[in-house]
Amino acid sequence: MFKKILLDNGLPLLTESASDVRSLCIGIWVKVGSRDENPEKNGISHFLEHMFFKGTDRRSPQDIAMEIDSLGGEINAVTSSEYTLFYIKVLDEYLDKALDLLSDIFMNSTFPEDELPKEKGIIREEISMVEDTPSDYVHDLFSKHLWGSSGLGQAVLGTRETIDAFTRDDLVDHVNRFYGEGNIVIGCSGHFDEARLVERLNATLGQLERKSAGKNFHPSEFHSDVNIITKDLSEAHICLGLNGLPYNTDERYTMHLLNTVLGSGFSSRLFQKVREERGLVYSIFSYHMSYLDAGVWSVYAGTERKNVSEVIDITVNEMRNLSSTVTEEELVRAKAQLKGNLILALESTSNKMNNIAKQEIYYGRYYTPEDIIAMVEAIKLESVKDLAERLSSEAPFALTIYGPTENSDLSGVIDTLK
Amino acid sequence: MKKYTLFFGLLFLIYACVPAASVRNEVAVPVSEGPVYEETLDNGLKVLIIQDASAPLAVFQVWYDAGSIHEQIGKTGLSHLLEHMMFKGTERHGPKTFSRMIKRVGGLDNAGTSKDYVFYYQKLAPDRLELSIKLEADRMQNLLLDHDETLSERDVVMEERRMRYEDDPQNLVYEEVVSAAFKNHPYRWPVIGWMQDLQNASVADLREYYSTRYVPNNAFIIVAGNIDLPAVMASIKREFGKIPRGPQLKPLDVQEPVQRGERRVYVRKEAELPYVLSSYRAPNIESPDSFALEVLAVILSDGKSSRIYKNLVDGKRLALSAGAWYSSTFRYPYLFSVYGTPLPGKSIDELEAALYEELEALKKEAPSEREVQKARNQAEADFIMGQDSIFYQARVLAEFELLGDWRLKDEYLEGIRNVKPEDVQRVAQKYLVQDQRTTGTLIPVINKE
Repeated sequence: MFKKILLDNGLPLLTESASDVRSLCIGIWVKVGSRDENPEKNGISHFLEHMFFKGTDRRSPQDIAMEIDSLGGEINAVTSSEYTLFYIKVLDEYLDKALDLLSDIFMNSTFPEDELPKEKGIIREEISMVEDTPSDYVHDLFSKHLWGSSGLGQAVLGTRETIDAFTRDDLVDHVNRFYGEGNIVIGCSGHFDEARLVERLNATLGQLERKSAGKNFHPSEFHSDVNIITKDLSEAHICLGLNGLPYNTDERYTMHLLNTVLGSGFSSRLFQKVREERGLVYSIFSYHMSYLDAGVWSVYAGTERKNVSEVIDITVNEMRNLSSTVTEEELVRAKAQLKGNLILALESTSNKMNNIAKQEIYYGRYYTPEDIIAMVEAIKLESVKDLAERLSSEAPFALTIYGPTENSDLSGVIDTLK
Repeated sequence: MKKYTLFFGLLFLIYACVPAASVRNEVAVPVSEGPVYEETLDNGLKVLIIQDASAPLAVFQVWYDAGSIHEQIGKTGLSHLLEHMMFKGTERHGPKTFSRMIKRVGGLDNAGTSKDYVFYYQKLAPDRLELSIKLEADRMQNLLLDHDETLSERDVVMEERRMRYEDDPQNLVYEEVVSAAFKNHPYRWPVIGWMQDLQNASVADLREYYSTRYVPNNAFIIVAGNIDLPAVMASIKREFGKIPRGPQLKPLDVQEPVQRGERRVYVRKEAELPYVLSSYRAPNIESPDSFALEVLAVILSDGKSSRIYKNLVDGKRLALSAGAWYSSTFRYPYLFSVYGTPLPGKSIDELEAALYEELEALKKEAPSEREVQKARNQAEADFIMGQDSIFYQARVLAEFELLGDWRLKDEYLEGIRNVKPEDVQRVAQKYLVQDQRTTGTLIPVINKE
């Protein structure tokens, strides 16, 4: 059961209650992420997110850790390019304690000066860890090549150089600029007493009075370049992409369907042609990534050096010809898959919380699963073909390869990308 | 229960609780009271059903006692390769149609292989369960195992191995430590198999493995969700009931020789950061000590108030990440591990010594009642919140069934609740001793480029 409630100060609270679980999940979302940062402050949103757990007026970092562990729950935060999320998940009997802890951290953190060097060290090492996982790192490299060195192209973690330079004033400044009422959305899902939840929230977050400054929004620009980063690994990691669609578009489910046909799941074309028929890869999939004002439609594949150009060739061909080859039968299957995934994705308490809050952030309203299914059902083959024609028949591809590959390996396929 | 990495065949790596397998007790015992319905068909196939009227979908799972512990030297990786081949069609439903048919009704399917078991599942609308039942019964007995498909899938699995191991230095260390910690028990080889064995895997090997282990008396089914129980049972009996019982399989009976001193292994590999993993031989849930070991692992490593985090990551600033890991739900005694990656400027030896100091401290002095209470709460909440979805309810039930009886799941919580501070100290003294451990170190090699 979905509900939108406004707290005393106007903060939107989205709730979805369920009676068959014993947990609840509460999230505070702030609409700021790495794309909103000035290049010299890249990584500050994520750094700040870490510093929120370093103590409040009432609690030391050790108190925070001890309290959440004693409840057997989980408190954590996530930073993306467009939002920062703080959440807590506990057994239902701990609603009051959970809210007290989460709101204290969110509203009263002190960001002690002496914790900064330590946390900087941790984030520098997070960067090293990503670099040690090639199948993750290639996506970071790809994003930087796609969107350039500011805005969307900036890594969430920042760079070693920007992190070294952060000061406590930077943190306070970031909170003052972005953590105002106008930028905050609260989500709660699971098993809880609604009246109690609203009462406790009004006593804490409902009292927040902070105006946010406007964002310095960096509009995004898609770059379709070829970048090969040669590295001695046993597999080459490939990201191949086309300019896509932003979050809030009428065509979002048409896009999902098109992507499902191409490369989502075992019966998709790429999985069948590249893996099942030729055994060239273990992992190949396509995905569409949306942002407020932009999107990218990408394919990831990991393969041995000798197969790189064949994998690219098959993928590009599939995408180029999609508008003329996609069939009614594929569309029917993709619709069923999409509808199924929708329901399956809403299984856990935390996923439900994410769903209702993200809809508020990106659409400014809530669509029920039934609404979405009706929208999916209404999509015609012609619309799918039309979208494929616009996105993939002639547009230039961006390509990033990380692994044992050199320019000469691509001589046969490079022209097809343009 | 601690998390561990299970090996997920087709799509992704999933974290899960660990089990083991044995299909006992073949008498039909419908459980009329309580949430689980249980019945065994004449051919030995057991069916467990969890009815949950509030669930929006249904889950269908088939579990086989066919994990990598049943492979032979020189033929490692067969269990996992066969799991891949189970999606390659039968005579009735040609190659590549399984997932497509499930998708067409809006469902989702996948499978997973561990050392102890293989399982297959679908999640779909309750009124579509019939499709799962038909398809799973069909591939339990009619798998094609085509020659060309097998060769192509072997390449896929070799690619998977490159991605998961050859390019993941910490996983390589884990693989080396496990294979040094066990001399005799088949736990010593990786679920994905050694690359050389994969190259040699043949259709004949797969066919033999399939025909002996994919039989009703070596499997069981779990159904969960908002379902019509009599209708589902009738349908299962109709489709699976006609599959003949296979030969009775002997349970694995391999003893591990006594370990008489620490073993050390080194992995030299291109990497940004070094890593150390130290694993001690430890019992499974058959020993009452396992509950105290679970609590011990939580005290050491669960959450930011845990000892290893508080002292080594936060306090002394020795480790970028460090922790402890243990799972009591392996079918045979497995390992209790501590591990860590040092912060730059700190040596791997210093971190290793600090990890041992944490263990020594627990041996010397029992933790406080408050610390143990916190750990019991964490273990209990993990266990309960881990079953928020019917998929995981079914899965936890299966994992305990594989250990001998699904009812053990209630004993698990009871066991955790009864752990006392002195139990934690006692099991630390008993199991976490130098002569019983195997230690692996990753030595990063700088690429010349």
